[in-house]
Amino acid sequence: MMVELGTSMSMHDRVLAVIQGRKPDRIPFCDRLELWHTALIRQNRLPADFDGLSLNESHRKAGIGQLKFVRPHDFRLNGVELTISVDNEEVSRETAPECQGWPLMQELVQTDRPGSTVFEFVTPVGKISLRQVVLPEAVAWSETCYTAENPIKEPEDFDTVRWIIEHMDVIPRFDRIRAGEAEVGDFGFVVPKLERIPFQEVLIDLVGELNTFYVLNDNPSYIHKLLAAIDELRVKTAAVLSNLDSPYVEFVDNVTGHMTNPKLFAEYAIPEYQRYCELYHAQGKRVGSHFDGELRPLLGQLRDTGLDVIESISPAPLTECTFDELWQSVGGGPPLMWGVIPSPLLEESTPEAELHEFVDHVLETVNGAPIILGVSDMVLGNNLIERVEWCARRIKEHVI
Amino acid sequence: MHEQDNADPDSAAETSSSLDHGSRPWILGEGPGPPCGHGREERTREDNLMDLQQLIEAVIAGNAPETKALTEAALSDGVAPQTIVDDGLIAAMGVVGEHFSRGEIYVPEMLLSARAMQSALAIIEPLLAKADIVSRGTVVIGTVKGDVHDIGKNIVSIMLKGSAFTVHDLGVDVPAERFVEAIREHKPDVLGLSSLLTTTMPAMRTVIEALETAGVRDQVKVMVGGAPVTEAFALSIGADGYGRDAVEAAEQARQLILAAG
Repeated sequence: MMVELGTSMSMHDRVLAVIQGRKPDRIPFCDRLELWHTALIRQNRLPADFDGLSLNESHRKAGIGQLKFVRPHDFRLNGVELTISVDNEEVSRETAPECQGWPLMQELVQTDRPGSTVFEFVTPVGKISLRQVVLPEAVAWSETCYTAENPIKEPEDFDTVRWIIEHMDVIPRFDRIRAGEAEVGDFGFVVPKLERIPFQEVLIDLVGELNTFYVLNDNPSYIHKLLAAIDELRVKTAAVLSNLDSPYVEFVDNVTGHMTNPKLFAEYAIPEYQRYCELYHAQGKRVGSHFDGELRPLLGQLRDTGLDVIESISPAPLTECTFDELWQSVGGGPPLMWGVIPSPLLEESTPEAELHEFVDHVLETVNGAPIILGVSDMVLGNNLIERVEWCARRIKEHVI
Repeated sequence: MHEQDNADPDSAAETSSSLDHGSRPWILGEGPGPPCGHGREERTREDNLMDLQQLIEAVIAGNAPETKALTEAALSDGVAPQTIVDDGLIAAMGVVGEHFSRGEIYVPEMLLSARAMQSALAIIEPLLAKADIVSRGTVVIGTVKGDVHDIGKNIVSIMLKGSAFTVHDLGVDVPAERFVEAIREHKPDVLGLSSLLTTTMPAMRTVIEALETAGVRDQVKVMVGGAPVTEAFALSIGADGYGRDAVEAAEQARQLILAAG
């Protein structure tokens, strides 16, 4: 039986140490239980020994540090009249609204009930709308809403969206970061959540993947002008966040090589990452991005981004890229890997031995090099908390 | 400002799920026009005979206007519509598929080629219908109940159409009963099920069970796909095929139909 050596660092300090290039006393194990927690409460299946525990208490009990994403600012949409309708009934109308989640507005969508929410943005140059949908199954599993309609549907929508972006103000909300830190305490890590880099915002949120590909071919100036507008907003945001006392910030890019293929990654994503990393590095902050998709096509390019961390790394069986391929490519960083343990290994349908073999192999391969382990993309409602607990024990007893 | 491309006769997805997304594939234009100097007024017979090879190249390049022009030229030259489809368009998409499988091109290039092909098919299909020539096969495809992810399904659908299959896309969040109805209505050769969440993968098994209960399971080959879906899972639920990506899915569909005779 392994003797547990003295562990002097908190989970927060372990994560921070790895991000800052210092050696922790143990490999940090830090990720999100929020989906699991909410799903099991809604399905009335929360294990008895978690009943009544807050989310942070649940993290402490399971042994997995609490990763908490918090938006450190709002956007004020100057000159915009925003109307929100739920299931075809208007529920609010506001001029120059302040919102966290432009353009997807997800924080304004009720995800505890099924429904369709339409956001209509009226400006002096035109109007756009987007629709978010929550299915009954998504409520039960505590999943996020789905963008059923992107804001840009017609050529003229490009001008309207650009107008909105060009007239936005960035409003600091650093109090949210401090509140989040108070919530997670020493057993977690609050990550100031940035938006996506411009290309990813166009690809996923504003236009949609397939239409972006068509427009890039047919009339690339539409995309390029929009990227330029978003870039200015990112630079403006970085200036505001220069006053934020935080060692790390992260773009929520949901990168997958299937959509942001190597050609597009080289042409758009890499220059954008390099630009913003330079801005945030000058502030003393490390920079990460959420890379939860298929990375095999992009392995040779990851180091070129300038990123310090790629978070929510999702190897096989979630994607085709194996952990070994990832490790051979960027093992030890930069960029550092955060994530790695695929959530399907925590499902009852997967033999537990596969999870044990995977984690043991990772620990052996890593061999003391810097990494932050977690569950990718996060712990889901169909994952067994006992397996999370096993991972926590195994990682804690592993001496580095 | 470019006009929207209405070349795809099957562009509207069936909204048979409980959701009406109201969105449709939106295309600013068809891409760059024919290369400079490619005039049509002084074409020789030799020019026309070369069109099939040039047609293949235009499809591979994703050049829809050139593809349409060359298709019209081939037709006026007396090339049989089915020959244009088989030896020109499908042959071109086969090359596109090979390039994609080898990682030489990616999804955007594949979509542009498929769009080019469909722009030509829009010209040819009325002629094929007149000649009573059937398509390669019929596929019903949809994302299972509880799941609204559709990018992969849409790409597969486009590639299947690009391989001259008739495709009926049921959309997303499709309940098992709707798949059963679609089989009775369209009598497809293949049913394609898509899921992008591990929490919705079990719905694929539900669909197969519903087919069995309805007595239509043996009328159709079932293929499954989506990021978390594996071949092992496909086998475990009794699916007939599994597509790792859009190109493989289209090829699998072709193989399943051939095997069924």
